[in-house]
Amino acid sequence: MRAVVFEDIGSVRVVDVPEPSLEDPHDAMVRVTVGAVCGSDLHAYHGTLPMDPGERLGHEAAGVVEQVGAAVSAFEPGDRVVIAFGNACGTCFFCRRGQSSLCASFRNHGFGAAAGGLDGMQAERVLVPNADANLLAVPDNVDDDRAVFAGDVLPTALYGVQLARVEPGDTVAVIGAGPVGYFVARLALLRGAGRVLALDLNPERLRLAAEAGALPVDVGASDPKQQVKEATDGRGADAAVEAVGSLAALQSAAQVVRRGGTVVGLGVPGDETLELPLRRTWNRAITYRFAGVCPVHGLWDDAMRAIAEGRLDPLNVVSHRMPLEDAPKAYELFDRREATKILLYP
Amino acid sequence: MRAVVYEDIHKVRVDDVADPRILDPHDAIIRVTTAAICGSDLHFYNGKAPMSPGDGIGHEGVGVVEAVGPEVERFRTGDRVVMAFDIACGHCWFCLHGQTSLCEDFRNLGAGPFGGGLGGTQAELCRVPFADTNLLAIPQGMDDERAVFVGDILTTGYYGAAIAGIQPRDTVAVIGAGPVGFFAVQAAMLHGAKEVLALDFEADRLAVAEKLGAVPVNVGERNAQMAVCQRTEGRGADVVIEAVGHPSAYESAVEIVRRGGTISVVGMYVSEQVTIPLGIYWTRMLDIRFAGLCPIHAWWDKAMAAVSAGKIDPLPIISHRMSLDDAPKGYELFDARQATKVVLKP
Repeated sequence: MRAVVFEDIGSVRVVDVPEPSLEDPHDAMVRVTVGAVCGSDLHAYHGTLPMDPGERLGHEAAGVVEQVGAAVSAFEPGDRVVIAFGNACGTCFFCRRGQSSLCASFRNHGFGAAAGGLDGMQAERVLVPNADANLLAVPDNVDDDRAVFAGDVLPTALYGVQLARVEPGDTVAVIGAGPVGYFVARLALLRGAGRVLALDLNPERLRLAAEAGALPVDVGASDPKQQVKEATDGRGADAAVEAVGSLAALQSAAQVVRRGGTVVGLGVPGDETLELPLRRTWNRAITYRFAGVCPVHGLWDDAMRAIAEGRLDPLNVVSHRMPLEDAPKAYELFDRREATKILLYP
Repeated sequence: MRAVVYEDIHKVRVDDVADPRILDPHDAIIRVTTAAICGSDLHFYNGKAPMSPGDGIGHEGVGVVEAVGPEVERFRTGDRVVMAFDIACGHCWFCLHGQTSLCEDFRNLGAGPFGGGLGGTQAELCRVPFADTNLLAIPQGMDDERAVFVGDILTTGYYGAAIAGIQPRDTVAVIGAGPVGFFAVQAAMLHGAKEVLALDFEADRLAVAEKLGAVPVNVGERNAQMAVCQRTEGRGADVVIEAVGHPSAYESAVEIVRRGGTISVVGMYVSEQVTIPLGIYWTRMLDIRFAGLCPIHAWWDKAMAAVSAGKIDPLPIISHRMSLDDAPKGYELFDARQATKVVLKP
């Protein structure tokens, strides 16, 4: 079968790989109908998350169950499903508390052996271990292009909004208006936020954020702290959600949040350190919530319901649709920030 | 009247000073019946916070309303009340949102120029501005010594536990078994903790915590992380309440909290800084809540109800009872850590 594999830093290829086959009675085989390129795939693409040449990429996909092991009870061949970006056991201490990403046997799809070794989903087929816990049924009225967002991006945004403890009327600042930032804005508004300010540099992303109902703040053109202050009677935002994954963005979040507010570090950070002034932070009564990997299994049914009920439309962030064979081009576009979200079709 | 005043570093004295008078129609004058010496009084005593000779000191106290201004509606002469250590206006945005310690017109009783120049509670009489906001009625039949800490450390400990999001069956570790830790231990139990571990290196403080039902961990004798992991199947504490206010206590909290756990930082910080490795905090999914000064007004009726119901017992923390005139001796004992809590009777 065909699959996208890592070749070298800045280079991916579509190659023939061996067909996966069921290895355990809890496994399922999913034939992918649509996959996607995610911001975190770029960590691999840039070499910040090291992978070996030939390892398969991708962790967002929807498709059809083709085969199930004898111990799989919730799914059967023919079922339409979305696959969790990371695989959890579903029964340990952390899984039971809705923190499945802290599961002792948590494994990532599509980031190579070092990150869990599970199949990449930018491929024709994906082997999904422990299928009962790691597949989600797609309702009849949700198409695959929309469903794919319930496996990663939407639950991640939903998680960010939950961590921000958004109350009705709150002002929420979102640092970074990529796909996750876009959905954070949408979901915060759905949850009753009075106003969402979206901070970014990229005009296309700011336009999209405005479409989501957020107030766009071009951080290249103006002082974001001042802008947020002006929008909040001088106080600052009740919550600031960092959806980039950089020290600068986190510091920006800390600058625009009000006293007594919450800073959420949602983006995957690199190898950076923050010098935290304890007295100032304590006096300002700031809460820092470092999100970690999204515990998708406790959130994705809500995300799917939001799609099914039409409360938000994930297709708004889709800028490109391409055949799987064009994946190298898709990565290039995405890397140059010329695409907001790319769907790939095997 | 007689009042404890600051004289110099390591020196307070009891002096004759002018009686406080109603200066604003919202003021009340309280005849103090019981006051206490608080750990934060030692900041002035030790020269860590500025105070001028002759400034009144003390911010924990109960008494009887002696006089009220014409605009005071909720209290009248003869009412028994506890005073809030933090004096809030009661009507700014932060006050109206339950964050009275972030009040735009925030003041402290007995805290010198930085507290707004108000007199202290370690005196025969004390003026309380915005009396309707900053006084709490003492339930009938409750004695002074049970009520006095509701105005500060009891409610601070309660707040530290309340904002930590304790779930039933959680293991809670309280770092520091001083007065705030003492109340945090009881409040953690009240919030449903399965087990509370008290960490300190002073045997007598640990003995008090043990009497309350906490598991004492002498961190002078045992490695804190190992001790906590032993009681949590190797995971670490679900919730840590840091009740010291020192970078080493903060780092200890980060070490003993489990992945996906919560740290409530109640201990007060003077000027320190810590370095946060973002990737590690993020991967460990840490939720760090810097409490700031306790917004007493939002919590003290709950705290008072817990005392009324006998669920929080303040009395074991009191080691010394003295007349107001013996205050200098009380400060010496407290500063030398020979007293856990000193109450003064004018």
